[in-house]
Amino acid sequence: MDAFDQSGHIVRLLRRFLDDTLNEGDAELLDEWANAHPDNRVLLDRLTNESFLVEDLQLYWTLWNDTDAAAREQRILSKVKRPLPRPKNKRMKPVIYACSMMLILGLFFIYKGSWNSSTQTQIISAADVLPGGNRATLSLADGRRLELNAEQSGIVVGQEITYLDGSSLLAEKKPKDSPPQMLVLQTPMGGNYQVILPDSSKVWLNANSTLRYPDHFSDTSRTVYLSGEAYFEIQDQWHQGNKVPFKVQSNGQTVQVLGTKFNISAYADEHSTKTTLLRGSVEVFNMNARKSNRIRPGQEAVLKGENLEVNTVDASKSIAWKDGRFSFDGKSFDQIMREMARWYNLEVEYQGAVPADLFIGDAFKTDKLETVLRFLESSDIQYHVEAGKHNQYTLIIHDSSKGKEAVR
Amino acid sequence: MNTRESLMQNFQAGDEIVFQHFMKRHLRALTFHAYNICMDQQVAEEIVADAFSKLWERKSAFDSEYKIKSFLYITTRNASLDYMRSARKQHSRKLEELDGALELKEKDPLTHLIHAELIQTLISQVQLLPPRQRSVFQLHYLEGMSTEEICDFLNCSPNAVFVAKKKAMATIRKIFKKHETLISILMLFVFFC
Repeated sequence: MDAFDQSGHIVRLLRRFLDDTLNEGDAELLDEWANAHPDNRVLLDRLTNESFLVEDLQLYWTLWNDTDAAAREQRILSKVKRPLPRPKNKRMKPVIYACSMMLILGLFFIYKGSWNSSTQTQIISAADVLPGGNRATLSLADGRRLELNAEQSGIVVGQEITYLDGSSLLAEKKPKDSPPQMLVLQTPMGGNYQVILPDSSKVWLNANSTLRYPDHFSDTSRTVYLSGEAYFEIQDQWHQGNKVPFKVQSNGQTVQVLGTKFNISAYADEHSTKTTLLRGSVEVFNMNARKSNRIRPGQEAVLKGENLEVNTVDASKSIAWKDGRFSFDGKSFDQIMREMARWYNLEVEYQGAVPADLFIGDAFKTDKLETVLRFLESSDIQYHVEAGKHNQYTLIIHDSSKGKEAVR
Repeated sequence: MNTRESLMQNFQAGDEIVFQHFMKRHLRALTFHAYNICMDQQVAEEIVADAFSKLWERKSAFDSEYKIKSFLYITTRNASLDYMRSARKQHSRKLEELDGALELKEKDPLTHLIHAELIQTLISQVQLLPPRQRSVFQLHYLEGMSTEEICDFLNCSPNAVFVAKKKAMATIRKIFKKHETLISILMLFVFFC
């Protein structure tokens, strides 16, 4: 195996070395590494000297500070030369595959479950836990509830309701001038879906989320209701020379915009509601404190109870989910796990403390759970998966303080 | 077929999304590595973009991510050193400075990679501090502001600054547990505020 294979492991050891949390075995391994090459010893010495370490951190910061990082990244990526190969259209395939596998597995578990329910927990391979896909239901005002096609990725709400490709979902046309009816688009755990609203604004709904909206907007107001997470691209709408505001109400706040792109994450199981702005300007009204804040692109308003805090963030990370990725950067371990749980339909259990490790990088949402959980390997976090209730799986994170003897 | 294999196969076949994914994953640490040698931000950016272009040209030769990683680090190091040698020829910089740089920086590419990734992780750890502690850390360690400047800049009552710093210290201690000097510097400026 290539030595580069082990770099992640050494990085982890070095971090423990800096934190002063090396155990004996770690210390031995680190020493072995330091002896393997004179350069390694030089690096280790350099890290023990705080002024060198601070120098390195400063050097990194000159390049990748909050203000410059996004632009610099873009600049480098745009300089990369790559003659494009033949275009391929294969985006839908993994989703179809995943869905059909999910169905087969689902049937399998229903079958298994009916035979030995509650006798014994089943250990499942994480390779069998498949990702979510395009799944949602649409509830109509008359109480009908439609299961949306998993091979489609979104719907368009206008005079009639169709899929994005124009194929019909609900043939009946509603009479003109009838009062607006509320529609409810709901995604389950492991599902996401897109909707184009009557004003041509686009909304991407993340897993386990609900969007309530009228089937047509009035001339002077546009209001929708969100729980969970969604990304919005709002179109300008004019009435008598004035822009008509668009409002999103969610957990403790109202966001008011004119025309812009932003993400709102308002899950009940998160400790806060986050509004991240990519373009334009939005006003976040904090209903508890009855105060409002205006945020700029690249800023994020975090609402916790009565407190609203505005931070500067890399906004592209907040919408990685929409482009089929998980982004781990800057997130706490349990936050990453809650995202996994929503997409892979899991319940997460900790045997012991929640690991304090930090992770960088991202993963594809089309991957199986096992592949995505590879990032845990770099921290020696052990886990296993069990079959749980209601076709859910339970992901059990082992107590990392107990060391490596834990089962896998 | 497992997903990692299929990921590599897609990359070899020219899948743009996979390529983007690899680039984003290594871009920051690689640029830091190049900058560390050539000390020129623009040159570092060029070198890294070149390394990615070369990777894309030779994509069919890579069947594991480790090979990609080592290729990127070796290419970046070589290009950075080449730049330094040619810069030296042009007498555009102080000779002694350059000699020093070359002597220190001809390290094993693997060591470079570990160094760069470690620094990246430490910085991301700083970014997880609560906002006020984070600013104190950034302004002091990363941007080199003095005590008075920080108090001035953050524009808050000495008492509030005191509380924020006490907390920042507790968290930063985890990162710099060994470095008592740093802690005492922080202590000092808590005192002065």
